[in-house]
Amino acid sequence: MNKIVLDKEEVIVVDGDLDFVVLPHEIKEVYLCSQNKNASVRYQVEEGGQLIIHHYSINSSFSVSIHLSGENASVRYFFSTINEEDHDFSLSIFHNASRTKSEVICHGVNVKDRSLLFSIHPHVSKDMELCICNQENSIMNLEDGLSIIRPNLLIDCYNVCSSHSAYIGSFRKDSLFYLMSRGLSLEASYEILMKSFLVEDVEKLEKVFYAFLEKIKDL
Amino acid sequence: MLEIKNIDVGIKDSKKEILKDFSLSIGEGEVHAIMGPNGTGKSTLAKVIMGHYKYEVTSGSIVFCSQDITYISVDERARMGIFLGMQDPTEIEGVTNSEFLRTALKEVTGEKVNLYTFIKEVERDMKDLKLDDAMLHRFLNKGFSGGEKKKNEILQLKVLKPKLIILDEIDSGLDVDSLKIVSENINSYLKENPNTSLLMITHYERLLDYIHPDYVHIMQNGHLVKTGDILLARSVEKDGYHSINVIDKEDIYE
Ligand SMILES: Nc1ncnc2c1ncn2[C@@H]1O[C@H](COP(=O)(O)OP(=O)(O)OP(=O)(O)O)[C@@H](O)[C@H]1O
Ligand SMILES: [Mg+2]
Repeated sequence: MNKIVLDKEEVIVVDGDLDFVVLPHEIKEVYLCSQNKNASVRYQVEEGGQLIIHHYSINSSFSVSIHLSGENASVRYFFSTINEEDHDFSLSIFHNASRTKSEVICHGVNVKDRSLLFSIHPHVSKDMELCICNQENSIMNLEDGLSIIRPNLLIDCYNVCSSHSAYIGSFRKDSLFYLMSRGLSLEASYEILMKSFLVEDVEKLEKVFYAFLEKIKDL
Repeated sequence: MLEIKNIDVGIKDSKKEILKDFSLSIGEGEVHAIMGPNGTGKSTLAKVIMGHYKYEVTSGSIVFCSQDITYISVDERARMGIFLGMQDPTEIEGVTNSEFLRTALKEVTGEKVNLYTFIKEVERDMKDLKLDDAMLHRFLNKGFSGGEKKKNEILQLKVLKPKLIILDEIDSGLDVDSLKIVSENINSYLKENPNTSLLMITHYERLLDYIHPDYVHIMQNGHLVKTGDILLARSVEKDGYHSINVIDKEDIYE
């Protein structure tokens, strides 16, 4: 489970801290799975480079930093986690050049009464004009877990387009009623709701994240 | 098929009572219609038969196919063959219509669903309803127009093949042509499955011109005040509920 798949081929085992560079105008797609593993990852994206990360995690804490170091560098980070212990996900994005772009989506299911923390920090310093940074975070509690979302936008430049949203709650009872009124058991209803919340594209990710999909079924 | 005996229904964790001493009996293959002013409890009745979490049956019983279902779970009722086409179908982001339908069919029949035959059959059903194939791959009811949502409820019914169909204001949100299409689909379902019973809730007699009811009930203040046939629906359409009310009161005071 603890591995990184690059562009669906090259596999790197996650063991300790990692460092990646996206070269100018390169497009890199990273599939990262982690289970019971705590690690730090640093990415650097050079001019015009595009980094796309799909990160699926079970009971893991990660600290990630992304440096957008050349103009028009961009990153899209989709983070999805199933949490049964105390864990946190911390992501810092440094917009170190103009016209850089970041988009972050973090979805978590907090299964038990433990803590789950998302800290998402985009940094845009002075003179880094026309940057875009968006983030959307949500955590669903299945029990009385302590879930916290900290979106810290450290923006020191006027000319920036930014949005953020955070939601902590539980799956809607109306949705459960609708699904169950068509014959789905409570378990099957939760499974279908969790899958839709945690997984971007089930068919596409089936092979890479088999363990993650199996975990959803087990909950 | 369905026997509702003297139920009182309130809202959970509140003192509000909506249905009072409500009784209704629906036999196999019968078509019933319920009409009544806004807020009298028609949707509540439909949801209580389905087992909605917000309502509580405080006395009486609901029996379906000789089994007391008053306190059993929503999904069990659905698997026994009860289907509720909702007044306002829920939107569920992230779950596609096809994935949902296929899972539901698997749960209801208890069998594995062959993807190819499933798609073929659903596409045929969608054609019958004049629904665009693309709706199958969209998120459940998300961004569907009012009429599309209603047609999607009928699509689910055609796929899941229930024994008791409850339709809560299926006609609202449908244009004249769509109302005709939906009614034709329901009529042909009833023809193919003659043991199926239907309970329609509506405000308009027009629906009953398309789907002919055996019984028309008028509901007021949480219970049925009068039962008749299509003529009763016509008199409501013409003179309003007020006329029914007067007759009913006279009946009582006589
Ligand atoms: N969850 C709820 N909380 C509070 N009040 C409720 C709830 N559900 C229903 N009610 C109330 O119960 C009454 C009956 O509601 P219901 O939706 O069953 O009416 P209806 O007959 O279907 O009306 P309409 O014709 O407008 O659809 C209304 O006064 C409504 O406000
Ligand atoms: Mg209603």
